[in-house]
Amino acid sequence: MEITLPFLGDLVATAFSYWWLILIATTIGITIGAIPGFGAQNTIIMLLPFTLAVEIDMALTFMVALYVASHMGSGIPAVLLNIPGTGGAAATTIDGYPMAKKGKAQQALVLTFVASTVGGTITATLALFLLPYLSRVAYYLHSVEMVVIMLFGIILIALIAAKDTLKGLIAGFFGLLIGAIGTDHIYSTPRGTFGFLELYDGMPLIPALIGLFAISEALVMLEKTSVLSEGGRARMLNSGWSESLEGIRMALARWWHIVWTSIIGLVIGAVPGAGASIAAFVAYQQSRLFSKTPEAYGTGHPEAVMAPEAANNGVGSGSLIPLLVIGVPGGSTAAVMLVVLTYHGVQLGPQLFTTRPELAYGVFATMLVSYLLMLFTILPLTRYLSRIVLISTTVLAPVIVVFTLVGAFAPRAYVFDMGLALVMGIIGFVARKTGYHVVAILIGIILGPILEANFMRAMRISGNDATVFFSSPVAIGLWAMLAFSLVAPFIMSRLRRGNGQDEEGRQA
Amino acid sequence: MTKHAKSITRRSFLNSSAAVAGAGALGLGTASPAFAQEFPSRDFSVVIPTGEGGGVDRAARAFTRVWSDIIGANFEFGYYPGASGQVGYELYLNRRDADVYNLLFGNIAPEMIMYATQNPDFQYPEDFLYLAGIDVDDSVIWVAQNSKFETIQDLIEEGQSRTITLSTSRLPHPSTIGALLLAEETGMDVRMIPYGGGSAARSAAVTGEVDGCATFMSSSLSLSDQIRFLGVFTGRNRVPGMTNEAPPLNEALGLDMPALQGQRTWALQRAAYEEYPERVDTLLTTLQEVFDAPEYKDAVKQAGTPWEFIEYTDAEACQESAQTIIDLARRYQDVLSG
Amino acid sequence: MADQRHGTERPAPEQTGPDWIIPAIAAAFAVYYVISISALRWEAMISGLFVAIVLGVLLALFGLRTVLRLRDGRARVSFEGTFTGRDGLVRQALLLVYIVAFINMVSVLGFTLGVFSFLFASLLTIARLPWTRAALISGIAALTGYVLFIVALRTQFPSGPFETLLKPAVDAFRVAVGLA
Repeated sequence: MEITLPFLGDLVATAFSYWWLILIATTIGITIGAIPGFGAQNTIIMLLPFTLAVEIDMALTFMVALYVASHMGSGIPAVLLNIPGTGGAAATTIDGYPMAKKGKAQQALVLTFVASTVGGTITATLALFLLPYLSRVAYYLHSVEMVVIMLFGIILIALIAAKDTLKGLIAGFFGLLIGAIGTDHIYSTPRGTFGFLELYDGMPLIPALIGLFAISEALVMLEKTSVLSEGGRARMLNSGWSESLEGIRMALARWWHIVWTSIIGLVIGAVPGAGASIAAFVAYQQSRLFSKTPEAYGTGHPEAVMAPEAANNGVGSGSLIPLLVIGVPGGSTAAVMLVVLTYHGVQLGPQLFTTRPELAYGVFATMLVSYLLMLFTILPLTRYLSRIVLISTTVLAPVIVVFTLVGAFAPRAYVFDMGLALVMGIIGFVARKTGYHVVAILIGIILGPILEANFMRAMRISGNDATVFFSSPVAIGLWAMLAFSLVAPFIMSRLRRGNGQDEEGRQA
Repeated sequence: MTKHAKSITRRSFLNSSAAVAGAGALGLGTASPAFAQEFPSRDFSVVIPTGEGGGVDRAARAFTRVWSDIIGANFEFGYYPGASGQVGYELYLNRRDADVYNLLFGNIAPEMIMYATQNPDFQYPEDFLYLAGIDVDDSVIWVAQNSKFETIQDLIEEGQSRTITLSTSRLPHPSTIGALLLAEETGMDVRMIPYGGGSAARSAAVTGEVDGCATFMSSSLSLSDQIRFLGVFTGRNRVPGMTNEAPPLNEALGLDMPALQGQRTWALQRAAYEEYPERVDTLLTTLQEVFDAPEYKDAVKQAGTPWEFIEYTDAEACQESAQTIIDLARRYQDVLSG
Repeated sequence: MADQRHGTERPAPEQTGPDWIIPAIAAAFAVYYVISISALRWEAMISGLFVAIVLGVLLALFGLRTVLRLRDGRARVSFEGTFTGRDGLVRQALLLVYIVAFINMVSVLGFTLGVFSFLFASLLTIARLPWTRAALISGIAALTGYVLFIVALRTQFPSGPFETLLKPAVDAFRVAVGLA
C-alpha cells in the first residue's frame, strides 16, 4: 500500500500514545542489553505472560521497544569495561574501551548512543518507505552470497591485529576451530565436543563471550587498581557536560558515516539468519577500509566506535522485515515475537500489509519513537554511567564476574556453561597478556559455524560443484567487492605515501 | 531407594499401565480430590528438545495454558535443542529426577528417527515412554507460489531429468523419509537440504533457493498465500481448504506409502512410571480433560493451529507409531546419518 | 608489546615464550579435533579439517619466525613481566578460587546466597574493604540481582534456602500483578 503523510502521522502519534510503555520497555531493554547473557530474546520469553495478556498493539510496542533498546544497551559495557553486552557489540570494544581508558568514556558513550539512535532512526525510516524492496533482499542473498558476506567479517581477524598479523590469524583460526565444535550441519554427528552433551549444539556464544571478554578482563583489571591511565583519571575527574556535547558534535559531524554503516546493518539484518554481530564486524571492516586514517583503528578512534553501533542498530529494523513480509522470523528474537503475534491472531506475510497496515508499519513507527525517547533519557546519563570506570577494580572485578557468570548460565540453564565461561576466561586472559586479540577469537567462534552452514548448504544444493559460488551476479559483485577490500588498503597507503602524507609508517 | 520401595513400585507399574490403557480407551475420569491435594504440590518442569518459538513450543504452550488450570500447577519450559533432539532427550533422561514433575514434550517421528540413526545414550522403550499424543501434523511437500510446478506430477516429471532440491529442517525428519520414499517409488532424483530449523527451511523455499520444501503442514499454513501445497504424506488432507486442496500423494500417484506425520507428545521416564503410579494417573486423567475444555479450542486457535490437527493418541498407539518410524528410519539409515 | 626504544644500537630483543601458550593450546586442540572427526563423512569433516590445516600452517610459520628471531638475537626467551607482580597475582588467584567455589556451590546455596558469599569473600580479601562495607555492598548486589533475575526475569537459576523461603511471596506477588 501507498504510505501517505497523514497515515504516517497517525502511526507516529499512536506510537507516542504509548510513551510510558516505551519508557518502561526501553529501560528494561537497555539494562538487559548491558548485561551479557540477557538478550532481548530471553527477556521477551520470560515476560511472555505479560505480552500474551495485553492487547496486540501494546504487546508489539513493548517487544519492539525492548528489542531496539537492547541493541543500544549492549554498547555500554563494551565501552566502559571492554565487555560487550551481546555479540553485536563485540566490535565496539575494539575502539570504545581504549577511549574509556584515556578518560574519554563519556565521549565514547555519547558516540555509541548517537550512532545507535541516528543509525536506528534512519534505518527504521528507510524500512518504512522501502519495505517492498528490502523484503526482496532475502530473494537475492542466499547461502552462496552469505558465504561471501561472512568472509568480509572473517578478514577482520587479520586486520584487527595490525601489529602482528600472524598472531591475529592464529587467534582467528583458533576461534574458527572452536566454532567448529558441535554436530555437523548435515548429519548431526558430534565433532570435537570432548564428549560433553552441552557442546553438541556448538560452542555457546554467550559463555564464550563472557569468558573471553568479561572474565579475562576482570583478571586483567586486577593487575592494577584502576581501569584508567593516570592522565585518563585526571581527565575523567575534570570532565563536565562539555564532554557529552563534544561527543554529540563529533558524532553529528560524521553523520554520513553513521548513515552508510547503518545501511550495512539494515541489509544484512534483512537476510534471515544473519545477525547483529555479522553486521557489526562487516561495518567495522568497511569503515576501516574507507577511512583516511586506518592506522588509528584499534587505538580509540571515534568512527570505529560509531560504525559497529550504527550497524547493529540497523539490524534491528532489518531483522523484522523477513518476519513481517515473508512470515518467517529472521532471528531468534523475531521467532519469539512470532509466537506472540500468532497468539494474538495476527496473520503474518504479505497480506499483513493489506489487512493490518497499522500493525506492520507501526513496528517501524514504534522504533522511531523508541529511539527518540531513549536519546532524551539516556544522553544525560552518560556523565554518570561513565563514572563506573572510577570505581576501584578490586570492587569492580568481582561484581562483573559474578553477574556475568549468572549471565553465562541464563540462556541455557546449564551449570556447565559457567565452567565453560571460566575456561574461556583463562584462555582470553592468556591471549590478552601475550598479544593475541580476543576479538579475533570471538569472530571465529561467531562466524565460523554460520559460514560452515552456508557453505555446506550451497555445496549440497549445487551437487558439490564449487563454481556455484560464482553462479549469481550478486555473488560475483560481492566477490569483486571482497577482492577490492583486500587490495584497497595497500593501494591507498601507496597513494598516501606518494602524496607524502603518511610519514609514520608502521614499524612493527 | 530401599529395596522395599522398589518391589512395591514394580507391582504398581503394572497397575499404572493398565490404568493408562483403560483411561485411553474410555477417555474417562476426573482426578480424585485426594490425589489433587498431594500432587502436584509444585510446578512442572518441561524439557523441550527443540528451540523456542517452534511448532513444538507453540503446541506445548497452548496445551499447558489450559492444563495448568485443571491440574493446579504451572509448567515451566526449558529448551534444549541440538543434534536433532538428542541433547534434550539425553538431558531429560540422564539428568532430570524421575518424579513426574519433570516431563518431556517432543515430536515422536523426528525424534525416533534421531534415536534410530544417531545412536544416542538412551534406550527406547526401556528408558521412557510416550504418555499421550496431543496432535498430529502431516508431512507435506510445497513449492513457492511463483514456482513452475503446479502439481506433484510436474515436480516428479522434472525430477526424472534433473535433481530436485527440497529444503527440510533436518535430515532426521519424517518429511525427509517421505520425500525419499516418493523418489524411490517414482524414479525421480531428490536431494534433501537440511537448514537446521523450520523457519530457515521455509524461508529458503519461499525465496527460491531450493525447488520446494518438505515439512510439517501446520507451520506452513500461515504462508498459504506465498506457497502452493503439492501433496500430503498421509491418507487424507485434514484441511483442504487451507492447502489449495492438495491431494494425498498415495491417492494422486496410486502409491502405497506409509503415513508420515508428526505427533506432539508428552513423554515420561520409565522410572517415574514405576515409582509414582498415582501421579501418572493424575497426569493422564487431567490431560484428557484438556481436550474437552472449550478454552483449549481457543488456545489452539491462538497458537495458529487448526482444530482439525488436534487428536488424542494413547500411550499404546504412540508406541506403535514410534516403532513404525524406527523401522523406516533404519531402512534409510545411510542417507540420514553420518 | 615490543620495546620501542631507538638507541644507537638496534632495538632490545623482543620477548618470546609466553606467546607460545596460546599456540600450544591451539595445537593440542587441533590435534584432538582432527582425531575426533577422522571417522566422519566428508561433509562433516571438511570445514574443520580445512581450519585445522590452516592453523597448523600458521603455527609452523610462527615457530619458524620465532626460531629465526632467536637466532638473529632479535628475540629472547623470557616469561618476565607478562604476568604481573605479587599483589596482582594474589588477587587474580583469589578471584579464580572464588569462581570455582561459586560454580561448585551454587546449586546448594542458590542464587542469592551464592552471589552474596562470592562478593563478600571477594570484597573482604581482594578489595580489602572493612567487613561492614563488604557485607553492605554484597547484600545490596545480591538482593538487586534476586529481584531482577529471579523475580522479574525468572532465570532458572538454582534455588537455595533464600529463594525457597521467599517463593510463596513471589508467587503471590506475580498473581497479584497478573504476571503468573
